[in-house]
Amino acid sequence: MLLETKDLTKGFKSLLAVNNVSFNLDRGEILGVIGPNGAGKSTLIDLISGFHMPTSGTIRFKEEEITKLKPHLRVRKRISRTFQITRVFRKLSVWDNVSVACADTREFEQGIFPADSDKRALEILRLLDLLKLKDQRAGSLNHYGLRKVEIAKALATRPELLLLDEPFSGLILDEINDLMGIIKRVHQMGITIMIIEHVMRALMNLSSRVIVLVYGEKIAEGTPTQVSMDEKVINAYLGKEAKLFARG
Amino acid sequence: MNVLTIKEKWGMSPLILLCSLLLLIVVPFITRDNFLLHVIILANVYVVLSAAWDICSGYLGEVNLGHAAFFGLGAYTVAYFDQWFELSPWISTLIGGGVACVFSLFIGFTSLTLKRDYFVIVTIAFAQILWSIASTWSSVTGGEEGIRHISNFSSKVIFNYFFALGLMVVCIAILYAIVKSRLGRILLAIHEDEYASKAAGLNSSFYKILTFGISSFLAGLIGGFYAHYLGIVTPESLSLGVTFNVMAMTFVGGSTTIFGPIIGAYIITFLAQYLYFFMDYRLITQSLALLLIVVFFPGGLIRLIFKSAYR
Amino acid sequence: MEPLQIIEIFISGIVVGGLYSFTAVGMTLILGVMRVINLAHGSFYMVGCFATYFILVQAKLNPILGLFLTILIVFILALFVEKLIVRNTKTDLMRVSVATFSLAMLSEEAIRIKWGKVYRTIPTFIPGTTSYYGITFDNQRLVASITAVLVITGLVLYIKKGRFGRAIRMVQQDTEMASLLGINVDVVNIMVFGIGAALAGAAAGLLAPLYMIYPSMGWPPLLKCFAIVILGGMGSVGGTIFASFIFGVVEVGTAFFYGSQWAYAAVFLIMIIILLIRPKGILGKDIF
Repeated sequence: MLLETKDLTKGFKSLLAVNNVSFNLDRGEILGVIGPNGAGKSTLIDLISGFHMPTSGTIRFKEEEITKLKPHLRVRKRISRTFQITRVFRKLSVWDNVSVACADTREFEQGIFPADSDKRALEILRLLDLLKLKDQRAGSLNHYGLRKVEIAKALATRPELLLLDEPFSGLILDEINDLMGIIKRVHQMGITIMIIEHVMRALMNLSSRVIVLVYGEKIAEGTPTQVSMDEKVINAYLGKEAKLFARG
Repeated sequence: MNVLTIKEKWGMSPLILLCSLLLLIVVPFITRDNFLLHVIILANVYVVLSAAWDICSGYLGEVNLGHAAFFGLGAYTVAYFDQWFELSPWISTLIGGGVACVFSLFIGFTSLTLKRDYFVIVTIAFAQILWSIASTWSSVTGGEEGIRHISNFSSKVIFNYFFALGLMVVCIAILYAIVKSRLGRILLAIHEDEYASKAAGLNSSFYKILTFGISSFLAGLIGGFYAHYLGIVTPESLSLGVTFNVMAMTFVGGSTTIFGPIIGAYIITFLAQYLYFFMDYRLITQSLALLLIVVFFPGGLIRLIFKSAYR
Repeated sequence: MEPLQIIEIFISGIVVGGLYSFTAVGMTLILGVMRVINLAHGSFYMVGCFATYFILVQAKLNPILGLFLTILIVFILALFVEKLIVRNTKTDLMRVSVATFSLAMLSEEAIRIKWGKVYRTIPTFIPGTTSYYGITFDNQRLVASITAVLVITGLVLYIKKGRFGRAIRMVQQDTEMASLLGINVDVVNIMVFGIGAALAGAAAGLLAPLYMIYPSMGWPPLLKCFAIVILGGMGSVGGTIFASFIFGVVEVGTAFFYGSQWAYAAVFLIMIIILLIRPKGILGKDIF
């Protein structure tokens, strides 16, 4: 078992963004996370990647407890993430974005720049079809390009677990198909993936298993088919629509 | 603030660099004008100070308003060590750099992990408090008079001239190597988005403290040289005036570049020294000019002239 | 050391703290709402002092009128500064730091050229002293301190209840949302900056007669305000007021035991200690 969370809770003053969420993730899986907006999905990723500390509960990764570990140390443990609103270094070139992420501080402290990092960076750019753009300033890329650079940065740190936060948002049809292919290739490299998404077609297609979060609580878990037929899930989505409908 | 990209290679035509260096080497042999030599030495001191400031405040984005403190620390350290231990000036200068660096580590640990605003405040407070102590604790620091009769490297102007030139070239080479390496790009990344750089696995606090340490070490080093060169050290070297000069030189030349501070340092040093009859109005002119540049031409001269190399 | 001395130090400190609170609250407003470090804040104070000097000594006008004029002058200056300088540079820390620093230098030099480096004094306009239980106060100092507390209380109430105050709080919490709700964020910003500076100007009007004035007098208040604001929590008016009092007591106490030059070092020490233990300050919020 790669990742395990137990009763993970995060409260902001009076609001419980994540409420007693427990789930497991096995190596090689692609886990999808869905739920209405504001359900706490991004917060969950923040907790796993170390950008927020939980109010209670534990997170274990590769049999080790990482609940309170600092973000950059979790990256060293091989957990990477992307952000919902891309946080790419726009002033640097595409190549620099990836190569900066390839810097492993331990090696730097010993006075050695990682020898294979350039090779690694090239492979990642090739995988994401960014080679032609490698010297371009990242800020000049279009939305999809920025998305890809964001993912490239996350891959540069050789993750075993990759957390993707709504990677498909704002993409057009061709780009969605393209990104689905990329994610499948990343998966084939042996990387376990956890992906939050609203674009159902992509998420259901990619995931081997799905969990559903509503108001910070996990209300359902199962294969994509099971979840899409689960009554609680339908209520959570349709229920909202029904209420809106009733209000006129 | 626009910044270098990997696209341009040197940032300055190697020819211009070589010619300037040759010119500087040749100057003491073609003129007997000691004043000119003195001004060039002073300019070189400020080159190191400004470039060192720029790497922390410009590249990394942690604005250090107490830079003079480290310059002065180097100078005073040298004064004390020469008195107490009778060390060779070479060693005491290095120690001057070291002492400045140690202080910077302490300051860095307390404030570099916090929001950028705190660093600005702490550094300016640090410099002012040191200045105030140096000015009033006469028994230890000599007060406003400072400490006199510090030993020389040599009494010959030529020796000091080439020593300053050599020191400048070495320091610039170090900074240039840093900027061109992955560390340089890491600094830019941390500057732009520290959060994202943490997500990319970078220990941002480590890099910030490292950069600040290097910047302060170089400031202390050149401060040590300066004390030996002048033979005295006064609280003036810790003052806001020094930091203000450094800011002006870096900005006029162009911040977040290596050559911007060099150009700025030479221009302002020469103007200040040769227009000495204007001395009373120097600061007001400088502050007005700097204000206008910061608001209207933040890129600095180097971006106006070498438009293609910099963005 | 007699108990009376301790009480005297304590009360002195509170009075001094009250005086500092004016300028400190001005700074915390600007820091909290606009998130701008204004290195020229001390300059507003210094310019206010010289404006008071000019009005009271050279133009020989009525002191109360002088106070209001000083505040007005500083306020208008601040509006210009915000519009021309701060607005353009506040997105970049380096630019705004260098710009406000240059402004501080510029004003210091301008004043120096006009009035010279000589230390000047302004005669106090509330003469005499009051004594309670063997402790004496200058009336001017006492009145200034009480005025400060009253004015700031009024300001706090206004921010909490008044319409404009509500606008300020909304801009502080979420600038984008505030502008979507129809608030003119630019106007709020310029006003906040003006008010913050005006507080420094008011402090100048009340305090100038108490101390000597000289062109570079802006820097110590600037640093003291920084220390107070860090102690109290950036952006928190209540915290800043509370911190001003603590600060006043520490300063008076240190000056009493170690001499006034070490009071300055005590400033720095407080700052560092707070940053090590509780960077948020007493009542502050965000630090990262």
